[in-house]
Amino acid sequence: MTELEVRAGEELERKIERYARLRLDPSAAQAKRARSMLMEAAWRERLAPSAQAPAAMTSAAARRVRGPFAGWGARRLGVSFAAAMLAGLMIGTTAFATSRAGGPLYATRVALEELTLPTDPQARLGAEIARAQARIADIAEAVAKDDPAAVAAAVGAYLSAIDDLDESTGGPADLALSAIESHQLVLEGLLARVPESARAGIENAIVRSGAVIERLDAAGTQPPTGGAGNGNGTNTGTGANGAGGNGGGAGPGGTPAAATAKPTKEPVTKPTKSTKPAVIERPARTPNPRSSAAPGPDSTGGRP
Amino acid sequence: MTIDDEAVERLVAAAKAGDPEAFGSLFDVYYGPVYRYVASRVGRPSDAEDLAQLVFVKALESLPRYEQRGVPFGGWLFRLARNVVIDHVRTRREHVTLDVIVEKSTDDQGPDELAVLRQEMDSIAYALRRLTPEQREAVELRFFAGLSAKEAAEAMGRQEGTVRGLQFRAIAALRRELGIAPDIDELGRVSGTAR
Repeated sequence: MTELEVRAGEELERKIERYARLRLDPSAAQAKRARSMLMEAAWRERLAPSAQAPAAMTSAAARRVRGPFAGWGARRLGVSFAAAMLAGLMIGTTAFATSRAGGPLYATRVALEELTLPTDPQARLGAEIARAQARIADIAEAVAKDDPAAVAAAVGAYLSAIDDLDESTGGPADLALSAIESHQLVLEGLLARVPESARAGIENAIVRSGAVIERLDAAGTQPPTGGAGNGNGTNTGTGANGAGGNGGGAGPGGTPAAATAKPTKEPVTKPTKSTKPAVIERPARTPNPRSSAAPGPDSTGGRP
Repeated sequence: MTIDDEAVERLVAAAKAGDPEAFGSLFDVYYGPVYRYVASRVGRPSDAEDLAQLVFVKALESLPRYEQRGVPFGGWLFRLARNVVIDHVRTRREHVTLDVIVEKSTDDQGPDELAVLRQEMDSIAYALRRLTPEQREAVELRFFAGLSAKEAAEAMGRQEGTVRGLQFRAIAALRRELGIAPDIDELGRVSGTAR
């Protein structure tokens, strides 16, 4: 059979051939590299016919063609998966045991919890309350185990948690207040059962939580915007109660002495928070609706 | 190519049966043409090397599914090559030209001859760039890779007559660009070869 052949002409064919030879031909080294790689792949495929693809592909383009486990059989994949699950379970169990109060990873766990707190003020307040609750549970667990070291670790974590809660900037303060009041009840209940060596820690926790209660109590139910600091001692009026902070001052019947008549409303010394600015230096708070709603001679009762 | 179609088919059958050496022989036959075709399309030698290698890896994977049925092996292989190049160009989004291709050194030529040669290469590269993409591909497959019209048609997914028409117009355009006088056989002549 003959066919009509389009010819380029001798001169053009010669030019094209020379162009291809000089600019397009692979070097001998390239051809050798490619051949050795291909032959290795061909032999691999010959020796392992179940493999889906040759294992000797090295170029980036070739790696895109097959996945990293393309050559693994189902049994191999299953065994590997089971081994990975078992190892994960063992590591998880060990990590959980060592991250309980008194364990070597407890501080790390607490620090991680702190690092992962949400940034949104409302959400953060809720998370910090939950965190403090969890530390109370740690204390109770440590007391039940009669483990003074675990009690001390859990109390330390709890104090840190309520300090953070005290400084929280979002959400209504009475949520935190009721949470810490319940903590105090729990702590007082634990005090009777705690080992003698850990007793001081629990007492410290009770004192510190009481101090936080005082400050939150003084802040009223307003959603704190600049920290849950107390407002006591800032009264400029004559009838304000101490807890009302700068929301008072309108009532004529009160006396300044009435505002300071409750010694527990005074700022409580916090060893770890000694650098906090004095209460009177804080920005003016939003008026407390409970104290401003009923100003007058009867407004000396403080918090209902 | 230095091997006839029948020998190629024998090698293909042996390679399909799992003979690595037969596949090696096919590689020896087709690596140069495949590399030329890929290099002319992607430009960068390092990419051309990777892609030419990938073409043969894909051929090795797909060979068990290859059935001749009138499709020449060369056409099938260059269709793989064409798809690899298209994927590469689509992924990289690069528009490369033949200008970036490195010239092979020629030891037996002096500086003057080299300058003349470089000028000639540049003028051919320019003339090739002036072709339409399809004309250029026809030239690449027919002249650079040395495929028959049937194989080139299979690789391009076009009719054989279409490829011949593209080749004819490409040749005319190249002659015009390069200032080569028309051949008296320009419009085609009867050839007794299989290609």
